Amino acid sequence: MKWAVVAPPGSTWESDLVSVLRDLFEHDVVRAYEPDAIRGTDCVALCGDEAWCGAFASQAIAAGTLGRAVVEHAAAGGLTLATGAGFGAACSLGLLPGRLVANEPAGFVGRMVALRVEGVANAWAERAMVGDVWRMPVRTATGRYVAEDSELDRLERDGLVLLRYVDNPNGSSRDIAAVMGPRRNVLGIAVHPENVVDASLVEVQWPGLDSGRLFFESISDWVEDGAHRGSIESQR
Amino acid sequence: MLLGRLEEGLDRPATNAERDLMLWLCPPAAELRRLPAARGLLAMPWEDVDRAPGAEVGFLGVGEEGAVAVSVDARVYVDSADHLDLRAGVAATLAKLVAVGVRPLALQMVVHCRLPGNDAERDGLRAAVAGVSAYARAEGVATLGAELCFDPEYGDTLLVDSVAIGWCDAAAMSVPGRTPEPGDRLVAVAGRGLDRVRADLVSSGMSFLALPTSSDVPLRAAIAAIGELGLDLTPAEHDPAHPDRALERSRPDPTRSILLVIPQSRLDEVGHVAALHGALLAELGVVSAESRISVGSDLKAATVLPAVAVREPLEIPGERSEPDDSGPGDDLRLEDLPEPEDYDDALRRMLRAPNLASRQRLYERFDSFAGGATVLHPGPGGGTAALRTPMAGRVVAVATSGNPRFTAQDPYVGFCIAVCEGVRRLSTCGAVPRALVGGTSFGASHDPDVRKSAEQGLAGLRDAALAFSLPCLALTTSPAGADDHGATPVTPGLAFLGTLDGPPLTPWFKDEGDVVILLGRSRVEVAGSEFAAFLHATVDGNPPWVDFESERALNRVLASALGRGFLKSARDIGAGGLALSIVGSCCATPDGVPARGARISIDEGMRPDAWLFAESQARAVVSVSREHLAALRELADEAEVPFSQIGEVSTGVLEFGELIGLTLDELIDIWNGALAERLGGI
Repeated sequence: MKWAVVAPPGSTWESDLVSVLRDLFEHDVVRAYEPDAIRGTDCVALCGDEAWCGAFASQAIAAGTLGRAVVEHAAAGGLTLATGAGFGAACSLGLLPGRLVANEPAGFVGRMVALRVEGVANAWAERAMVGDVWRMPVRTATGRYVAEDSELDRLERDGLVLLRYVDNPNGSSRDIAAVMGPRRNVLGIAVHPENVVDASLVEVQWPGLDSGRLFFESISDWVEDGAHRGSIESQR
Repeated sequence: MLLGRLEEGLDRPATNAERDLMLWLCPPAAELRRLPAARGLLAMPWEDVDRAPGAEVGFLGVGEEGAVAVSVDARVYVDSADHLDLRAGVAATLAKLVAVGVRPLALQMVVHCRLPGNDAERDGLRAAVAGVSAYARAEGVATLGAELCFDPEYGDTLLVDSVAIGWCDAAAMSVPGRTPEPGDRLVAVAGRGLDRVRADLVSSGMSFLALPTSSDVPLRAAIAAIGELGLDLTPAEHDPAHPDRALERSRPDPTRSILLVIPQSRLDEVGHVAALHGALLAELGVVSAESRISVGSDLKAATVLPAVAVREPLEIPGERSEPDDSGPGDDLRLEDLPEPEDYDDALRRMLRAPNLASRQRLYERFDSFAGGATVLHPGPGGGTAALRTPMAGRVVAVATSGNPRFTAQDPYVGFCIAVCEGVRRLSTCGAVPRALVGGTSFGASHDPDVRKSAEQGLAGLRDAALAFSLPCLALTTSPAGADDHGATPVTPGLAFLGTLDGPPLTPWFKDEGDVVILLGRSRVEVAGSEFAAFLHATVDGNPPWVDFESERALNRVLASALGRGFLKSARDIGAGGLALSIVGSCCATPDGVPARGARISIDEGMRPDAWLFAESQARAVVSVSREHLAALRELADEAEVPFSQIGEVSTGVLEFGELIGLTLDELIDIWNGALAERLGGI
């Protein structure tokens, strides 16, 4: 599987994702600095680094040629994973409704949180059942997802909420932790699945935790299974 | 002392300019390292240990593939406005690792201050926490702990000790550093691509020496580092009133710079490599073999100081003496303290003590996930954290310690206790203690009494390090060159590194019915404890008894029991005594892992408050399944470690005999909320 990882200059946060994809899943990963690097990839990961460049970087990506290439990739049905501040960039690009704002109460929160799976039969949670509880770390000061009520109603009605916090750590509207675009090929996720993949890092404190592995294996399966691509098309 | 030496070297009274220059040229860290005890500590030969010039960065080999690298920084902030800029200490610590070609992976820091007394102070401390958190996150470095240690003795002063940890592979370590020669150039490279600049220079086969340095006064630190190599530095021409100005002008980011000693012939080449990566280069000086240090070569009368004045060991006034039996005050007797009438209430109050309240919410303000190497996060780890290294299966555990109250009672014993605690914390998570890193803060370094306390403390550090065969990888102190730091207590800020070949043991209770064991001997030792200080507002007396052999025996039992798979949890007993250790084992569990209760008996032979809250050393609480009880007892007996079966793991409630019975919900609510309550939020 081929990935393109888009991150603002100076960012360090994409390195965890890159090492997981390369070392644990043995995927083909390129860091995309130019639009050409995105073409032909199965999934684009849009990462961010709120501590270093935050909203400014998100806007810069959204305004630049790289941002337009990400939009074109998503418009063509390509999988697009927006994590952390990249979630905010995806909102700025118009790939997802709403936006990410400062936590309520204010301040950085870095801890493992429980998430209820709400949306299945998509690239991101194909291996899960509705109601499953995943655990992933939240690591942000600006992870509060907000949107107009009408947008939130539409997301709920169309089954585009993928994950909800069991215990909301940042004041996100309707406890939303991850939402999909209308075609379900774009995901904005405010938690970090890449940090709960490597069993040797999580077993000590969270025995049996494999949420991140389920998440990425679901993506791999989806890409490798052509039949599912058909189901994406049928949802258009 | 310093000025006397200066005038002796000059053979005349020093001018005010020379006095100022002398103080400026004497980095406090270098000053500390000239104390006899510190020299002894750093002079010990150890296998698998190396230090960079300046002794603020060290390497601990953990196999053929590479080494763990650590850097240390200690700072005093005397102005409340400075508190907002704690990032400087963090930045300096990280820059020291970058200077020697190591990518920082993790950061650990301890802040010592008084409990904020008003909204402005609380806001300031919260802002400082947020600033450090953001800086570490921007650098992609996991923050494994940011402990707050409160003591009213700090007054308006705030001390910060920070340690950065990185990994250095064998290939990078094999690059020999240049031995400076007269005529070599000292240059600063500044910018964000320092690691790439360094890598390119290594690839080109250039021989150079990287000097780790504090970012705030790089030239001063360079003079000290080169001085320790037996050479001197003649700084390049610059504004004599501001010797660092030349560098400051050239640095886009004062927190990111490294110093390199290079051959004069390669100057242009280094400048080219720096420019290639967007970094800037500034020439700072020329290495010379002259026995003098000159600053401001464009001065009409250059200020020249005798180098011996900043290089030779300092003398401590009077003879260093072991602490006497009485300590700084009369020993505290338990009968002087009224026994609590309501033990439920006493435990509730202890849980709210600023130094005992849970740090879980504080740790959540930092990112311990960054870098993807954290195996054990600091909250549930009871202050001990663990990082996976690139070597398969090899894990490095990190713990901090340092109680200024014990140090105030007796500097020598206080530092010994700090080492014992740190070693014990590593042992309880299954790590083999391998090295320590010393950050030390003491006020008024030119005050003979303060200097004597520091010397005694360092002697304790040296003796304890020897007792546990622990090399000191790096040693520094806060900048305390001015007398206005006189109120600052001598404060140990020590970090300890241990290694494991597998996952660490965790400190929380696991399963209902497991047996709770107290290893070690409890004594009526309440002087200097949080119990005496917080519940009874007294800090008099002598610190607890320290016995290195008892500590070593306890550590052997823990290692042996863990190796045989007997232990399900282990936690050291420190601040707050047995009661707080049990509370931690019950309540401090990772998100999603259920808290457990416990039924603990009370020792009939001791007054209950001493049994619960005394801070006797060489003790740990462990839990085992019943099938391993006899085998653990046998191990303890063989090592002559006192073994007491004190209770069992239960659910829902924590009970201490008939005296205390609190639900876990209440305990967690009080304990986790107490720090935020004190600080008006975290």
